[in-house]
Amino acid sequence: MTLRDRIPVEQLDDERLTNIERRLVIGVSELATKPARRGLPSLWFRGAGVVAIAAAAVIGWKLHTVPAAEPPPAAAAQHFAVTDGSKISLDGATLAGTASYDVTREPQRVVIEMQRGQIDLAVVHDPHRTLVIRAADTEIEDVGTRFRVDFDGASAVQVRVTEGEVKVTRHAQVVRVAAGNGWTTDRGLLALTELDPVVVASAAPTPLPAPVPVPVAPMRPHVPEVPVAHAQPRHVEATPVPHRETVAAPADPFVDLRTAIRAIPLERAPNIDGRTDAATEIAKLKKLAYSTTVGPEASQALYQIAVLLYRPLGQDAEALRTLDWYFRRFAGGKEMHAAMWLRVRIACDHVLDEACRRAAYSYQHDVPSGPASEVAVRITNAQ
Amino acid sequence: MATAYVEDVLLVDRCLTGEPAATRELFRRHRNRVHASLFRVLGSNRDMDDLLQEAFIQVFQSLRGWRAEASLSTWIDRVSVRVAYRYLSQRGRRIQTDPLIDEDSVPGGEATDDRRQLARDGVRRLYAVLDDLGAAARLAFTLHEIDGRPLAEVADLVGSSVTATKLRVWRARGKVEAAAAADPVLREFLGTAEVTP
Repeated sequence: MTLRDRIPVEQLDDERLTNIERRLVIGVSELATKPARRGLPSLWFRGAGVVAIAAAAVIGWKLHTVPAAEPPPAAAAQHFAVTDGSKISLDGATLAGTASYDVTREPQRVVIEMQRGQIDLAVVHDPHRTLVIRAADTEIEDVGTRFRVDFDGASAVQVRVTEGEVKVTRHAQVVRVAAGNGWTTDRGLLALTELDPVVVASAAPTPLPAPVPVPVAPMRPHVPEVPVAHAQPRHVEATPVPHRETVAAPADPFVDLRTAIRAIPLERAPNIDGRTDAATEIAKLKKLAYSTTVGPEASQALYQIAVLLYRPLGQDAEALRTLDWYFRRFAGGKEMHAAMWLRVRIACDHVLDEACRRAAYSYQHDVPSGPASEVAVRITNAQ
Repeated sequence: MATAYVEDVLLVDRCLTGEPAATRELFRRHRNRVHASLFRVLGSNRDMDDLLQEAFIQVFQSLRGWRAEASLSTWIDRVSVRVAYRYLSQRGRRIQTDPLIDEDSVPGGEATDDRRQLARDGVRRLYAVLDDLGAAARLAFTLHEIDGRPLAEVADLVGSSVTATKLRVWRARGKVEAAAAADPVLREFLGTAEVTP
């Protein structure tokens, strides 16, 4: 038997379709804002909800005769404005430099919110109370270390790590910066040799005392020499550092490898530095890339969008996604090898992991010779 | 064909940037086909609004996973079939089937009325038999016999082998034919259908 075309499809009327479409657009926009839902069965949710309500009712009934406890006082921020390089002891950390910042003690962390300036820190890591430096939309969390933070008061942040490791969080992307490395809002993770070409061994010019673990040290209210009310944070320039003739080799072999990766220029990259210019350029390129014609202009535009997303915008995940689209749409395009190398560079920017090796392996497979391929081989073989 | 592929890629690209107009466009391009398939599987528009919405929500949720290896329409069909399978499994085997044709709205003479009445009753009885099938068997039978898709495509859509799909269709057909042997209305309805080897 075949029943094809013998069962008429009863069409949905326009009103129902419009309603579905409207709900769909709302649902999709909510999808974009919500984190991915874990696949718990709804029955479990309902069960957990019932249990939670029952527990809350029992606890509420038990407590209703007990006088309500005073709510804990909100953490109050203390303001510091240090212009003379004075040192401050703060919960096991020693801070020095010229900066203006607020300190807030929370139950499990101390948050130092910089307005601008430069702070050198020596921190004894306490897993129960972490130290977080916040500068605009960047957060730097110590993992037991000596490091310096520079903040221009607007958005540019530079971090230099001389001992241990810090965790930098910006726009939901986390980067771990180990000793000998730095991080900037514009360039991301990089070796200190790249950040300060003439200085390698010591990025902290002001010698700091060894950090002393103090479980809960009383914090000095403010530096007496600078009254808070009149403190005017001055423009902070990087403190001059003694010139060194010799450049020490980086301790981490990956730093060397990363330097080699970055030494390979990105081909066919648009010559744009500023973030605003890059955003404008991307808007222009999108018109070309998303045009219905599939020509060399579209493929070049899509590749250049990926480059600009990577640098100067620092949107690595978006850049990788754009490259994926490039490979789908323009496999064999003129920029294919350049795009593959860009993928290596982005994937290996922060850590030498499986994704980085995979990208390098693909590159060396497709481009068997040349300086980039040699670097790709080194990445593939790196331990 | 190549143009359609490029258009799909570009449309998905726009959807992934969160453009509401692209969401609407993708829905409008594929809604009729998805609706027709779901209707033939379920036999009614009951819960169709929710199902159609759920199918497209799933599509948009997993749009990043479309690797452009299969055509976008095939990929969307696969997602819709999964939604239908889940619906059939969760609701159990009993699906309330609505009458397919509004009796008052049928114009025509007595002969046409009789034929339409037969079609209406036959379809109702056919889906009553299908209600007793498992979700996988019902999907395989309806997608192949009613939606007219080749067995290989059905197997791909339901994520099963061609042999297993063929077996499901064969068993379902056996049950429908057995029911028809005991039901003259269903027998007459099926009797007017073509017989294929």
